[in-house]
Amino acid sequence: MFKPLDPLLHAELRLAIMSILMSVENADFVFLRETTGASAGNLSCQIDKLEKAGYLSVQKTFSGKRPRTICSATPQGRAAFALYVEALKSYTDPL
Amino acid sequence: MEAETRISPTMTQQKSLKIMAHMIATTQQKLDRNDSKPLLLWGYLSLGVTLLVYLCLRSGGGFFIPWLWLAIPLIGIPTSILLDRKQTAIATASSDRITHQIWMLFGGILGILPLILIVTGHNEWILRLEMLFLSTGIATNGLSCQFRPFTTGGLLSMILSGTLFISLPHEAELGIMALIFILTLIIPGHLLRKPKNHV
Repeated sequence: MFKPLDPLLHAELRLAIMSILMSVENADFVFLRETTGASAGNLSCQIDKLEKAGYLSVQKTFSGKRPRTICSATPQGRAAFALYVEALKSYTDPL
Repeated sequence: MEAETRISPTMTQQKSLKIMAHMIATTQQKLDRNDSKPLLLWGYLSLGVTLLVYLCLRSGGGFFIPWLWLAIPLIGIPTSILLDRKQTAIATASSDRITHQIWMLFGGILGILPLILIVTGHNEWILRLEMLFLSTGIATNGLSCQFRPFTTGGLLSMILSGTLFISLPHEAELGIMALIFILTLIIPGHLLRKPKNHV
């Protein structure tokens, strides 16, 4: 039986952001932009959506005089990602 | 990566898996490259100073030779701080906190130990004990982060450090120290930079 895929995660950039954050404790905006290759505007928009859903938390700090945005996956986001991977398995290995 | 604001009708399950694998591998590779920088900096700097000391000894020696070792912290510490400040894209892995704590402890020992030995007049023990603590720190880091080159390099270097406690010619001691720097810092540093196979 196929399990439904979380629509919030089943989108390229959002899935990429969450995949990165699942493998680290936190990552800053520049790291996410460089790793995903997304534009700053689009990345910012997708981070906002994930934050509103409670999948990631955003912390705004300063590194010297430079502003720095640090993102990290919340426990809710980690659980949603694990469920998404489980659901994917049901498609790739239905038996 | 193209703009994506809604569920893509073309995004298949295979593509999802590919994105996840690619992002995780790229992130790991970037973390590894960042981790390799201080290893290579301290490794080549220490190796260079060891070579300089050897060359000075070969060319007749001088009172200044023991002071040459000071070049390692005097160049290494400000360069590390500078590299740290220049870094713009930052991600922190969970293992980074453990590594940080290990090097707070061993870095502290490596920094304070020479001062204690100088004050107490046991200068001849400085390099031997520094090599032993460096090797132990690297082996501990390797065991905690399950990075085999660190564990192997650290353990081999601990054995090599043991030989420094035997009376050896100074040139041989310098050769062993150079080998320790290569095993603990330079080889693991280059292995971290090596591209890994990913999807």
